[in-house]
Amino acid sequence: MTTSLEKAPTGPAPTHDGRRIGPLVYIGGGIVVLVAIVGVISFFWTPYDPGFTDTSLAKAGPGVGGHLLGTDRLGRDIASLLMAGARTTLYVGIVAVGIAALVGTPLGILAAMVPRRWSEFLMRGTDIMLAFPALLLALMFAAIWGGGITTSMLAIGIASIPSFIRVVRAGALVVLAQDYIPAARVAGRRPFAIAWTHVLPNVLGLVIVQASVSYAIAILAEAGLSYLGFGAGLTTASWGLMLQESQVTLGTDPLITVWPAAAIALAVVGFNLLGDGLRDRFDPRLAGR
Amino acid sequence: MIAEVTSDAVIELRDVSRTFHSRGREVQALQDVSLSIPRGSAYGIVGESGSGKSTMMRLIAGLDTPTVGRVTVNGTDITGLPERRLGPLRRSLQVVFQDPMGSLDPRMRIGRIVAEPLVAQGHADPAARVREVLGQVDLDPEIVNRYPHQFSGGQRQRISIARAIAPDPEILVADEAVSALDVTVRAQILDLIADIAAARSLTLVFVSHDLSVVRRVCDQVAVLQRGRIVESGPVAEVYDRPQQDYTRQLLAAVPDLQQSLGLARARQDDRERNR
Amino acid sequence: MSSPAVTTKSASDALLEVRSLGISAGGTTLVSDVALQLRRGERVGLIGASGSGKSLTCMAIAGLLPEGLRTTGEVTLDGETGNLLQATERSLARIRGARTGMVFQEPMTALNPTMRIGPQVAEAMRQHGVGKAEARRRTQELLAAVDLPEPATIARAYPHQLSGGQRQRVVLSIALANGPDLLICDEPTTALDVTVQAKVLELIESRLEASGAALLFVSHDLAVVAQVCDRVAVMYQGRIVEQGSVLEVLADPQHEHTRQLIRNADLGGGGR
Repeated sequence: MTTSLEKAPTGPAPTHDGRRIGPLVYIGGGIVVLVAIVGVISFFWTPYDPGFTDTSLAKAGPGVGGHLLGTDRLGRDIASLLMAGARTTLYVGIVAVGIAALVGTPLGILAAMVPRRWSEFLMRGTDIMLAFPALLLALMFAAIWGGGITTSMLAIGIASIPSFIRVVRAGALVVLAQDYIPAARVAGRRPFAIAWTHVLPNVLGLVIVQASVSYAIAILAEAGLSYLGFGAGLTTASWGLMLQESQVTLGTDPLITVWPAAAIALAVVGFNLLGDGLRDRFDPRLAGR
Repeated sequence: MIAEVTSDAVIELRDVSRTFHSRGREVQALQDVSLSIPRGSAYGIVGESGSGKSTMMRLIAGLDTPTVGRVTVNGTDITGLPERRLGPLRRSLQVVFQDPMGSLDPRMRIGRIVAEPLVAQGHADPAARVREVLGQVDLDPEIVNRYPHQFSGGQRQRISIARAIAPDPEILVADEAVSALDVTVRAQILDLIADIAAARSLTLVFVSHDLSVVRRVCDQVAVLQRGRIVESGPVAEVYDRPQQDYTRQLLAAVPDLQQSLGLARARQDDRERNR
Repeated sequence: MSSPAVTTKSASDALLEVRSLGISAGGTTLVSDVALQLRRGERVGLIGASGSGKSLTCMAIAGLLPEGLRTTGEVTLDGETGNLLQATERSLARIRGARTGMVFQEPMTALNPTMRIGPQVAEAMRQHGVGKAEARRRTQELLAAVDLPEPATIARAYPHQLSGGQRQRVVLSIALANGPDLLICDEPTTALDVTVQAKVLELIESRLEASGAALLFVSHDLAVVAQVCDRVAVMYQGRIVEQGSVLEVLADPQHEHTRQLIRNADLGGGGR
C-alpha cells in the first residue's frame, strides 16, 4: 500500500463502499430509467396507435389536433412513435448487450487465466473481430439473411463481444494478481471455482460499466441500421426509422426530424453518463485503495 | 552450503533451480538449491528482495514448479503435479500471506473466506469448524457475516491464520506474515503464529526479510542471497556466529534500538566535551 | 493530554514552529494540539503507531494535506511571513522544493515514470529559477553526491530501470537540489531492504552534515529514529504525548504509550 494517509486504527474503515459517486451518474441513471419507463408504458398505452395514419392531419405542428409533438408526413402521432421506439431501442439493446456480456465475460476471464500462448491466440482473434464494426457486420448479415431486427441485434451483439473480452480480461488480470488468488489455490480451489467465486464477483462491476457503455453504442448502431433500412422493418416503430422517414420533410418541417434525433441523443448520453460514473466507482485500476 | 538431508524431513528441495523469462532476459530466481526442513521445526527463510525467498515459498506451497530439481512435501513428490493431483498437499500445507487486505477477497464474508479450504476439501460441517478456529485466533465467532474491510490489519491477519489452520494442516507457511502490519500488533501476531505452531506441533516455515522476526519464532534458518543459500543452521549459531560475509552484513544492517541509543549517548558525550 | 515542548530553546535560531496544530475530517478529529519546534540544523523524529497522526502532521507542515481536511493552529517557517496553513498554493509551491525538501516512503510514486532521471532533477531546480545550463551541470553533481554510480548513465535512465534504493537516492537528490533548510522524510527507508536502508540512512546523515539542513523524520522504526535524530516526539491518537532528546525519551520513557512502543519494537527478546 502506498497511501501516505494513515487509516483509522481499528473499527470499520470508510473504504470499499464509501467512494463518492458524482451527480452525473444520477442524471444518466435518471435518463435511462425514464427511457425504460416510457418503453414499458408503451406496451399498455400510447396517446394514439403509433401505426395509425391520418393523412388528413399530416405534418401537424406540436399541439395541433391533440397531437402533443405533432404528426409526421403520414399523419402518425410522433409522441406515440417515440414511445414505441423506446421499446424497440430497449429490446435491441438488452438482447445485443446480453449476447456480448454472456459471451464476452467468460471469454475475458478465460483469456486472463489460461497460459500465455492461448491468451495471445484469443486476444489476436479479438483484434480481428474489432476490425468489424457493428454496422459492417450487420450489413454483411443483412446481405446473407436479409435485414430485420433480429439480424441487427445479433450483429450489434457480436460486434460488442471484443470490447467485453478486453475490459474483463484487464480487470481479471488485476484480480488475479491479488493475494487471495494464491490463498484460494492453497485452500485447494480448482481454477473453475476460483473463476466463479473470486474473479467473476470482482469484475462484475466492470461488466456493468461496459454494459452501459455498450448499450449506448447499441442504440446508435440500431438507429443507424434502421436509418439505412437494414434494421427494424417498416411495421416496427424505431427512432432510426423515424429519422430516415423524416428526411423527406427535413426542409419544410425540421421539427419532425428533431424529435427522434433528440431521443437518440438523450438515450446515448444517459447510458454514457451512467457508464462513466459507474466506472469511477468500480474500476479497480482507478481504485485508490 | 547445502543443508543436511535428514530422514524425517517434511519438506525437501533437491537441486532446485527456477528460471523466469521476462522480455527476452533470463532471470535465475533460484540456482541449484537444496534444503530440507525437519518435521516439527520452525524454519526461517530470510533474504532481501531478489534473493529468491518468495520463489522458494511458492515452490513449497505448490503454487509454482521448478525448472530443474524436485520438491517433496510430506513424502509426496509434488514437482510438476497438476492442480487436481495436489489434493494431499492442500490438506497438509497451508499458507498465511503477507498482505492481510490482499489475501482476503473483499467481496466475501468472513465466514465464507475461512470456510474456503474446508469447502474445497469437502469438510462435513464447515460452519462449526469456522467458529471453532475463529475462537482459536481470539476473534469473536459472530464476525462471520462481516466483510474484510471492517477489520484492522491485525484482525485481518488473524482471519487469515484462522483460514490456514481450519483444515488442520501439518505444515504452516508464513509468507512475510507480519511485514505489512503495524509494529504495535506485529509481536502479537508473531506470538499467535508461534503458539499455534507449537500447540499443534506443526512444522512452521517462516519466510521473511526481517531477521529479528525470524529470530523470535524460528529455531532453524536459511539465509538466501541472489537465488542461493549462503548459510543455514540453528538460529542461535547463524545469528551469533555467522560464517559468511553476507550474513554478517545482513545482521549488521538491522537497526537495533540499544545500539542506536549507545551511539546517541556517544554523540551527546562528544558534544558536551566540545563545549 | 499532551505535555508541551520540553526542550524549547531560545527562539533566535528557530526554523520551524508548529503551534496547537489540529487536523480534522468531517466531524472526526485526527490530530489535535500538536506543538513542535525545529531549530536550524536540528533533527527531530516523529514516531507512533499507524493512525497516530504522525504522517498527517508531517503533510500539514509540508502543505500537502489532501483536500477535505480542516486544519487549525499555526505553522511558521523562519523567513516566511504568516501561517503556512493559510498560505496560498502559489506561495506554498515556492516554499516546497526550495526551502523544504521531501522524501516519501515509495520512491516510485515520487518520480515521473515517463521522464528520464536527469531532466527530473534539473526541473526541480528550474522551477525555482535556476538557469537551464546551470541546472544541467548541477544535476550531475547532485546525482554523484547521493553516491549514485555513473551519474551520467543514471541521468539518462527512466525510474523503472533503477532499483528501489537508487530511486530513493534520486528522490533525495531532488529534495536537496535547492539547498533547503528543512528536509522532511516520511518513512523514507520502510520500503527498502535492510542493507539498502543502512546505506540510505548513512547517506541522509552525511548529506545533512554537508548542507546543515534540519530534518523532520517520520518513522515507525524506533531504532532508525534513534540513529538519525537528536530529538524525538511520540504521537498517540493524534497528540504528542512525549517529546525530548532521543536519549531521554527512548532510554527513559515517561509515557505509558512510549514504553509500549519500545516493547513492541523489541522482537529479539522472545523465541520458543
